[in-house]
Amino acid sequence: MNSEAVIETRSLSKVYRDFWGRKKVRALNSLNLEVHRGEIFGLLGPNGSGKTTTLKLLLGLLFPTEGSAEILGSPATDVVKNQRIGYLPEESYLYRFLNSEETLDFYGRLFNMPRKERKERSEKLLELVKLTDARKRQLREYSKGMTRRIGLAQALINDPDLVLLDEPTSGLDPLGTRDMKDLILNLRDQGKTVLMCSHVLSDVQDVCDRVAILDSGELKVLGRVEELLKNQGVTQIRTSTLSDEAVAEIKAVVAKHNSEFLEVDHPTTTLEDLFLKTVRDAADRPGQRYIPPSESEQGQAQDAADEEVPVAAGDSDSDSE
Amino acid sequence: MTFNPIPFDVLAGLVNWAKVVGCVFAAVFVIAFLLQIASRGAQGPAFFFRQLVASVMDWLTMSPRRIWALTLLTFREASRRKVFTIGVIFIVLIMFAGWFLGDSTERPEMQVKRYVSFMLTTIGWLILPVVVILSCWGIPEDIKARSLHTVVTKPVKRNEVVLGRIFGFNLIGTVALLTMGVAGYAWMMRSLNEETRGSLTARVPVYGEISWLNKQGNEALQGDNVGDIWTFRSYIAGNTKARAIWDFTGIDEDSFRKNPQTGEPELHLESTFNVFRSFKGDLERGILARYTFVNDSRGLRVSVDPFEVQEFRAGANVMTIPRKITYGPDRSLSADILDDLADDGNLRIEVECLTTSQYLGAAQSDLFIRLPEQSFASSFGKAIFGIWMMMTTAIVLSVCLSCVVKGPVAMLAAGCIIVIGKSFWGFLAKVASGDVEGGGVIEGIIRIHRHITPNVEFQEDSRRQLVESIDKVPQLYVQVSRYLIPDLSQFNMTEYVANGFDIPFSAGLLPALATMLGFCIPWIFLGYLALKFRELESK
Repeated sequence: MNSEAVIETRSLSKVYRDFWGRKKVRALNSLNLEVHRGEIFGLLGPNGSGKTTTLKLLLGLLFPTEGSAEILGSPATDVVKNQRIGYLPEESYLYRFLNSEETLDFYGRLFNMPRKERKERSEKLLELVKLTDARKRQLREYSKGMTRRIGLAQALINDPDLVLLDEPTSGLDPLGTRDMKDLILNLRDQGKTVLMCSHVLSDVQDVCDRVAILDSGELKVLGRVEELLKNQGVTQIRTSTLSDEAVAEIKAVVAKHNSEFLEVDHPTTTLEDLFLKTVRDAADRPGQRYIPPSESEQGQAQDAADEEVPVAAGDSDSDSE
Repeated sequence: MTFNPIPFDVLAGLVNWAKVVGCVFAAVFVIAFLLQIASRGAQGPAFFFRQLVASVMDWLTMSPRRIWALTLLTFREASRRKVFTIGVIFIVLIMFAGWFLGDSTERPEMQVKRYVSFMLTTIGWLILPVVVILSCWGIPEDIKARSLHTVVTKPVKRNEVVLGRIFGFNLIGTVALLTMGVAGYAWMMRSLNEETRGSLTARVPVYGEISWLNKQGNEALQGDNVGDIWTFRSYIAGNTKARAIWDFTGIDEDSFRKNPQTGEPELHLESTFNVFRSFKGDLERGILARYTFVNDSRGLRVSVDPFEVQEFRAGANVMTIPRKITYGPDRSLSADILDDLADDGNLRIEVECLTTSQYLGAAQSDLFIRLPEQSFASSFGKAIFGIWMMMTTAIVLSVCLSCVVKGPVAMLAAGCIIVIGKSFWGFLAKVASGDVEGGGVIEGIIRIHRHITPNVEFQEDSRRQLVESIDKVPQLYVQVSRYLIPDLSQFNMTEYVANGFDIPFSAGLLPALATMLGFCIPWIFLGYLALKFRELESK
């Protein structure tokens, strides 16, 4: 096994069979994959593509039909490897009659942690996932977002080297999603390895270093996110607001170099950024309400927004559709 | 009431257990080995032995903290799902039970018998379904809700899951059982009047080995058969040389009780002999019988005063014999039971029937030396412990079945095994040994078809041999089943307590304990193997 590889699968295959041993479906077909230490790896694919099967094979919840999987140098079916793994399942399958304090204490015990360490770690994690105020409430009373957060806390109870996250942002509001993404990035900064499955492609794009795309149980694409997404046929220049004359001059320069001028526009922010800004402002200035602006105010607001103008130009020989 | 006074032979039981468990595990391993070869080909044996070593390591590296965590989880889960409402049912039952149980016109010991039987039976029947349902649903529900996935993706071994669940359900059952036991005891004390409470005793019997002399005074395997189909007792003829002889061992100073008035030590002999009359005679008077202490090595035979055995009088016959017996024509001779009549702690007592042409029926448990009594509370506690052992066996069975199949199927299977083990184990053993009249399945069908009663022998021919050969197949299945189904009647100690006896360790608690351990240990291993090699996410 590569010393850098934390997860390595070799021709990993899984066939689901019925009660009589007859083949039902080949969920995974000869998957060869390596996840390296300290990276965030995204596993993508449509429903039924085999990504959850891969995760369950890696966790030892399923046994491979063919091939093998190694995690942290041990076979996937070896229980000892779990000592260094944290797992957040898709639906936070926790015991709903426990409160969050009892939940973390229970999972801490499963790692053979002494009482003092369990208590300290629980306190820290409850603070991290912002559930300190709800620590005495049973999980059955939690919202979906809160359940995800306590699920994440239990996955981190042992300070794992490898974190496996199944749909980590599912059920979270934008603020929670951003916190989750920050936390994932923070885990990488601490030198931990993260493997995540997600349907929310923007989340994967935001945090993952490398991704693999599965379809019908087969690996279709594997590589670094920026390399996979880079469009070599378009050049983008970002400047502060330009006058119409300056834009005309740039168009002339582009034409002079036999390239096609594609677009000049003011960029828009993302809905996520707008939402986060609004929520944070509301916290800073309680009582502030939305008042419809007058026509003159609308004009000023437009000028203020025109601070940056992106200019995109394509090579003359490239398609400009 | 009949007790089995024969002490449990631990060594013989252990050897038999090792044989059966060895066969079961050998079968399991051979099947697993062949399956691995079939599915993995040449790599099969290596995989099999790797898994075998891993399984052994699982047991050697178990973590008590993890097991305790799962135990506590199970307890919390059940208590928050309000399983202890079983206590409310119990309280309601005992609140109204007094209306139907109380009958002050009855003899005190009969009242005590009814109260004790009701209490122990109620506790047993309340606790058993609750723990079986909980145990059968625990792991399957965990798998269905996938909460077990979050557990097994931690460094938790499957044996820890099985043990944690078993201990958890057991803790719930123990708390419920103790609460019901204490409440039940207090309720009985309150409900029974002072006179009746005096009958709450725990007699401690010392049983002896029985042997027989026939009418001519020669050794015999048993006494006379008086034609009673109930062969538990056999009979000695009156005014003949027929004797029933008991040999007691381990007799010492502690075998005597102090007379409350004089403080002198005396031997209490309690008997429950039966009478068979060959003619009506005087029904107002009983049959005369007599004890004779015999020490052959010293050539001593000392008879005590005869006593009457009345078949129509309920209860046991207690004879108090002073340690120093005076005997002889004018009672000029004396003998010390311990020093003169017992030989190195062995005491022989012969029983004879003195009434001519009448018969005295006896069995081994019909005569015993009664030691100083134990407290009723301790005897009641032992009976509760018996229920606890039955509950533990049921929990282990249910949890291990639930490792293999889903909740409803596990419950059905556990229910069947418990019902057979509790009520039909004796019949099962009889069928397995071929002692049932009427032969096996095929022979039974033929007898029904031809209207042949079971006591009519089949004609000896080749067809009979064929039928018997075919019948051996299902009989073999029943023989195997007998070893796989526990005899749960071993755990029922109600009869001892209800009849005012202390529960003996060697003949009461020990066989129950051996049954519990004998079944639970292999079941736990099988449950663990089933869960270890089960794909929790299998579709």
